[in-house]
Amino acid sequence: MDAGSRTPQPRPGTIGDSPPRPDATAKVLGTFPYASDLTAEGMLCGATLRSPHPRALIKRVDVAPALALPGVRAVLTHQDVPGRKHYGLIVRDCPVLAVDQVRYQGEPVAVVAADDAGTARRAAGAIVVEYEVLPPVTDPRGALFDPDSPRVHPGGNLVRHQPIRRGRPDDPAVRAQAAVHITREYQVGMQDQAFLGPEAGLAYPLPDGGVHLHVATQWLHADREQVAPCLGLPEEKVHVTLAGVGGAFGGREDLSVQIHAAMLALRTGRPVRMVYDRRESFFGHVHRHPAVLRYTHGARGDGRLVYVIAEILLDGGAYASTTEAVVGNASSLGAGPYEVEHVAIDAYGAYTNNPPCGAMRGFGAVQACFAYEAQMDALAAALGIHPLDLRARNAVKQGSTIATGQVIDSPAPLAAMFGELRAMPLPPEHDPAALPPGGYGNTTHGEGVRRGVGYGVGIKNICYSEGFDDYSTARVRLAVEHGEPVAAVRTAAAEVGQGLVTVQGQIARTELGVEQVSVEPADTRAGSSGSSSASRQSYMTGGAVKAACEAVRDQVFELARERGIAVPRDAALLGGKLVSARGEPLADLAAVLGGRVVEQTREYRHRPTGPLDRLTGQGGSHVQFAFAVHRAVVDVDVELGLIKVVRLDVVQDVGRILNRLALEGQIQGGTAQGLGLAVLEEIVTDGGKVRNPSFTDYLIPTILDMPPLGMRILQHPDPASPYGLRGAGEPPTLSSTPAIAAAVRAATGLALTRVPIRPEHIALPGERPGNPPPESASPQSASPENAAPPGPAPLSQEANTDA
Amino acid sequence: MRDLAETLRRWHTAGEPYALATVTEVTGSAPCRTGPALAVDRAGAAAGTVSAGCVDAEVYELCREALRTGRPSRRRFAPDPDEPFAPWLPCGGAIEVAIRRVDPAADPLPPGAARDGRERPRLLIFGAVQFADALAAAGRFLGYRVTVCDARAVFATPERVPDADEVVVQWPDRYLAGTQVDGRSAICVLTHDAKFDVPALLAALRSPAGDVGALGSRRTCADRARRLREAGLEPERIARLRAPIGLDLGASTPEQVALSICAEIVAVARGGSGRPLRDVDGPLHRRQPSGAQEMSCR
Repeated sequence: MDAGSRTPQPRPGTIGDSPPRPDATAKVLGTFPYASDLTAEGMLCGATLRSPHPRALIKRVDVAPALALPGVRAVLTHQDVPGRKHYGLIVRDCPVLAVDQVRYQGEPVAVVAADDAGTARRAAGAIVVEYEVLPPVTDPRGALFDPDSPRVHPGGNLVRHQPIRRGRPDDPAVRAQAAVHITREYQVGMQDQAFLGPEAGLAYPLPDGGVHLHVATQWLHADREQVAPCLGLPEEKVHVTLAGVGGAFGGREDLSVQIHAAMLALRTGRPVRMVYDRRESFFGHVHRHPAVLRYTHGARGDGRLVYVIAEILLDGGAYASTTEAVVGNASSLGAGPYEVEHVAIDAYGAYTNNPPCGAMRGFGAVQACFAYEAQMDALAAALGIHPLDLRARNAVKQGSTIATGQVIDSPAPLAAMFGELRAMPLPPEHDPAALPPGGYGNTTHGEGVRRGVGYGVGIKNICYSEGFDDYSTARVRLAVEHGEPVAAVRTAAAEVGQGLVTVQGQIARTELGVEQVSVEPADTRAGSSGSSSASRQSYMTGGAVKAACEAVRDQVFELARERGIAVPRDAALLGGKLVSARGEPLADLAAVLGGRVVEQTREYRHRPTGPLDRLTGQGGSHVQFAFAVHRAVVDVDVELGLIKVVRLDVVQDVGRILNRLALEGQIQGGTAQGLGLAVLEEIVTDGGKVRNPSFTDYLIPTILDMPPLGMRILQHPDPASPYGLRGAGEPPTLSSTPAIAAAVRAATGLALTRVPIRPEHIALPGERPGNPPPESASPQSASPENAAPPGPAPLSQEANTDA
Repeated sequence: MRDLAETLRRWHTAGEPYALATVTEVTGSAPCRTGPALAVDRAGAAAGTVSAGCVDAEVYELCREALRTGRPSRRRFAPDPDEPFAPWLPCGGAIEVAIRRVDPAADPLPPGAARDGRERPRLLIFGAVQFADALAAAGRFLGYRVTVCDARAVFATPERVPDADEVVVQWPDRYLAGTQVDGRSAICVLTHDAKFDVPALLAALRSPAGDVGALGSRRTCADRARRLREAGLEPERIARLRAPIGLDLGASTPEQVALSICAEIVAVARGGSGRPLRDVDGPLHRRQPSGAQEMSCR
């Protein structure tokens, strides 16, 4: 039920309203300054020389030919790094510039500053590097478990192994409770964030020997924390200001141009700008971890889960980035939003010589969700139960315990969400206006086209987990200017397109009763606001702004009381007045302030979390859980393998809608990104080399690929969060992928255990290694016996009807 | 950039060496054709483009290099996983470019002038009338080699039609008998005097020229058609004649008339309807109809 319609009409611009983004006009007109648009007087342009080899020793570097070019001002290698040679978000393993070896194709080896971008690029090309090419480590399983595998790092190839143990999944007596056992192996390709604004930043040298970076990033303070030691500077000499961000999706959490541009600026004494082009961008940020997931599910005849056993291999590539935390998510959420008593999950993050992988929207939960949802469909098919019924019989609710032993202590309204989804209308079987698979290609008149419907459900943790203190800081000022109350909000939170600036203003208007709010630029002179990731900024920075506003309000009330005005405890600020709870004016704000500016800074913390036990994975590691449910309808040309997603419907619970327009945008975008992973998006590597670093060959969904999206938004508030909100950016990315994959399976009758699904997986099943065996087309009609076709290793499926 | 050949002719006449990049091979989606593409003179000025941008900077440098050293080079631009940061065409296409220094002293003909094999299509204007020069200029602008032909030596002078590539004093039918026209050629008869234009049109409509038009009022046109019939011209040949020449633009000045005529020439060459795009369906940029003329101006 859309509870939003029951709430009273909000005051314009406050929580619950959908005011336009403050940056909307500039972005639509093309005048918004993105990081790549920045310029400075006397600016130099930077360029990066990158390794063409995934794994090689560097025998010799000669920068003299580059320095000899007119207009070249500096050429730097690892020997010129003033401080620490390595950085990293969690593990400090990533060299600023390659030291004697390279571990992935595209690893930076040297940087150049020159008078113009063309000269810088040519100078980078003129640097002579002699490599001794080594065979790359590209298979994560081999990297982890083959004792003869070369080591990508001296400490070995394991970044993290996280087991989750609950109940007795190995006990034959437990297994015997299951009427059906399904074992399958799944693969998830390497998705890219594909943000449109490439990596860019401008570094100014400061007179005190420090540096000021203007950069498109997700987390200003984490940048500073990593940049300063590498420059050999104390943190207070490194300033970071957020430049215009053209999308992030996790891909800007790791550093790109930051240290390089700063080093060049410090060396040359001039401002230096670095901007990647599209191709370099594909090598310039981490991607989503590709994964191999082997799952065994056992369920009773009534569909109730008995046990889940899973092995999840996540390929972290050459450097750790956030692999550790991604493993934590994949393992702790690996059983999905389902109650199951007996669980054994082992998630591994591996070092290889593939492109480094790290944060991307969904962060480990996406990969697991694709696999466990496919398993739920396979169980449903084997038991002849409707896939949504099977999920409903197992779905978590408030009070449920997940695989880590953590109890979900806030609403988990999956039952209501399933009901909403069922009630949403399906599209007509034949819509003459709709394009067939193949679009305008005129590839079919409908022959060979089959329709399929599929479902996906996801569970995502909101905010940072496993004991991390990802607090946020906000400063709020209130003054009366020209007779009108004006609020100013200042944080270091990164607006990456998600609309946080809008929500910050809405919170200030709500709490302080003002209309005029300015949200000041984000920089490190403010306290940390943490990362714009983990769907956490409305929760955390929203919480900090709310807390700072409350502190401002309290101070105003205190001032009023000092002036002898009786202010009840439930008073409020509204339209430049102190008012009672019933809205009766008590005093004029201007009179109370008497020209003073009230300013308060607050740090906001979510409730503490704990670690996952290293051996059992038990622990209250998560702050909050969020859920989304998708239904996908697809048409598939089974002869050509072409897929048209006809319609998507989504139900998501967000606790409380702060801004419906922005929220709908997030759900649209998250759904589209999930669609991309389902049928389009993959960075293809061959021997560690990227084969498609362009938008010609790396395909993202366009408006023609994205179908109409039906949306129901539920509001079951979380008592622990500001306004009861639940983080919203990531959950739809989880569930849309498995829903689409399930729909394609239903249309084709193929098992399709890999995303993205490519045409050849449908049109030429079994002709390629790793292709799945055929499967019954109709989940509803499949009997357990039918669900056990003989299939080639490593895919197998057992059905046991004896129990 | 619009007319590389023109720049090359100028540079060649000036006599200074320059470098020329010629696209020798195109595969896949690369947005270019084979032929001379980009030239760089000693001062560093560039004319033309190879691929509308993506590898131009690189080819420019190679031209500078060739100009400096005199050594020709050949360079292939194609996606290569082993060289992921080399200049490339992001569209995924591949091209090969040959770069050489051209020394006009040793090489009397500018590149592409005769050897190129892609001669500009011809526009033949019969009648050095008042607005022949505006039409000549418009034809040049569209990439035509423009010839103005008139039997009257007083009128057929380069001074009267400075924009023509050549001015010929000759009876049009005799001139047509001795010159080459092909399917890409357009012939405009502007004399609107039966004495001149009936013989000219008899020759023009029997030639392989792709487009033949004639100026004249509706009465003149009806009268002319009768004369052509009486002269024994087959009805299907008469039907080819576009008269009165031009599209209905309400043109009045010489430049406007030239535009009206050229608009019709383009429509004939490209198979356009001549109607406002607003009123027609279908793609705006249609593919080349087979046999129709190339309108490119590189």
